[in-house]
Amino acid sequence: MARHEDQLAELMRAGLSGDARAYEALLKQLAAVLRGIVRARARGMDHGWCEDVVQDTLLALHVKRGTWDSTQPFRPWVYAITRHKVVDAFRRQGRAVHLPVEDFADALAAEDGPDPFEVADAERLIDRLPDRDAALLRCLALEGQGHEVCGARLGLTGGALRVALHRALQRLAHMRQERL
Amino acid sequence: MKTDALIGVLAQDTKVPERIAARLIAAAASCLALTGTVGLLILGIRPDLGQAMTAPITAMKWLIPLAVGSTGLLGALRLTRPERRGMGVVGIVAAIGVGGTLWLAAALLATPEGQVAAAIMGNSAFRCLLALSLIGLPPLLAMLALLRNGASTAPGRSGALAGLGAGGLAAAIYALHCDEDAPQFFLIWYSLGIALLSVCGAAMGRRVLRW
Repeated sequence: MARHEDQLAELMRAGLSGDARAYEALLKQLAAVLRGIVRARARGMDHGWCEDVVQDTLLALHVKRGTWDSTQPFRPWVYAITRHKVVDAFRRQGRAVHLPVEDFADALAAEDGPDPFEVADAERLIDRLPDRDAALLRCLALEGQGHEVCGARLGLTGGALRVALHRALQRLAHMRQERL
Repeated sequence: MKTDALIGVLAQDTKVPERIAARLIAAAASCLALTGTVGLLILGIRPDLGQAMTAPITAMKWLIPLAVGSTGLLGALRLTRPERRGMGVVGIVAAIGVGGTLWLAAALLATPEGQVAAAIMGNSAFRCLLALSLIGLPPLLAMLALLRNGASTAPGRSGALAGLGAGGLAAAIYALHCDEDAPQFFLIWYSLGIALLSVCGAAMGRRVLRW
């Protein structure tokens, strides 16, 4: 079953207007595609490293989502972000990577890849965030608690929690970029 | 952290990202208005401004910098989108540069021998370079700060274009003061000032616009 440009763009549009469920579905689809692309090129690198690159790219897609112009096609935007992050990740390992746009289009049309692995690196980075950011991401992501529980634990109301989460993710993305 | 957990958290961040364009233009404009006003309060506005703006050759002191400045600003904005490479904008800037160089060459060839150095140096070459850079630098820094929210896949080029934007607009403001109307003067010194900011912008962009 091919994923159509329209479907992905629709999910993104819904996500940008606040539909968390559509957005989550989009990110899951993209994660599977990214995983396939990275693993196909990562000879000699372990799956943990690949998953790190996948997570970096997802985080970049997320914090930069405001740079997609919703009147423009969605795939070239995704491709540009992905290419930037994947090429950069391989370059940090001293390796060049070839990522032609056709392969990317094929991968977007393919079926989902295998399930994700646990990644330790992301957790170490969370530890280096300011205390409240780290506690918030731990509560939401690692413990899987809802906004109410995490908000109550950290003394944040709904709006403040949203802003805190937004900032924490921006910082996390920045930190992942700077880590080497 | 499992990738699914990360995705779960990302999906909970429903704060809609702000658009860059409007904020960037507002920041550049207010910064320029501030530094430009301070600059002109110190330097003063040339008394024959109306005449200068309507004479074809001196009008170029505004038209060329404004063309370069708006192209640079537009280019920096375009490049906040990762799929853009900005080559069209670079082409326009290059075309303006070639045109300016040809005009300068023709003006220099038409200058009587022995007066070339005087025509180039004028009376205020250093002041021109200094004032232009000082008027343009704060807007450039403000633009770079906002461009960090973008996703340029060519950070050096983004910074260079922001520098052209700030420099071009700063030159158009400085021209309200500057009464040196010889093309041999303004083509060289305005261009140098703008180029200086562009080089600064490229160097800073390479550092701060990575993501």
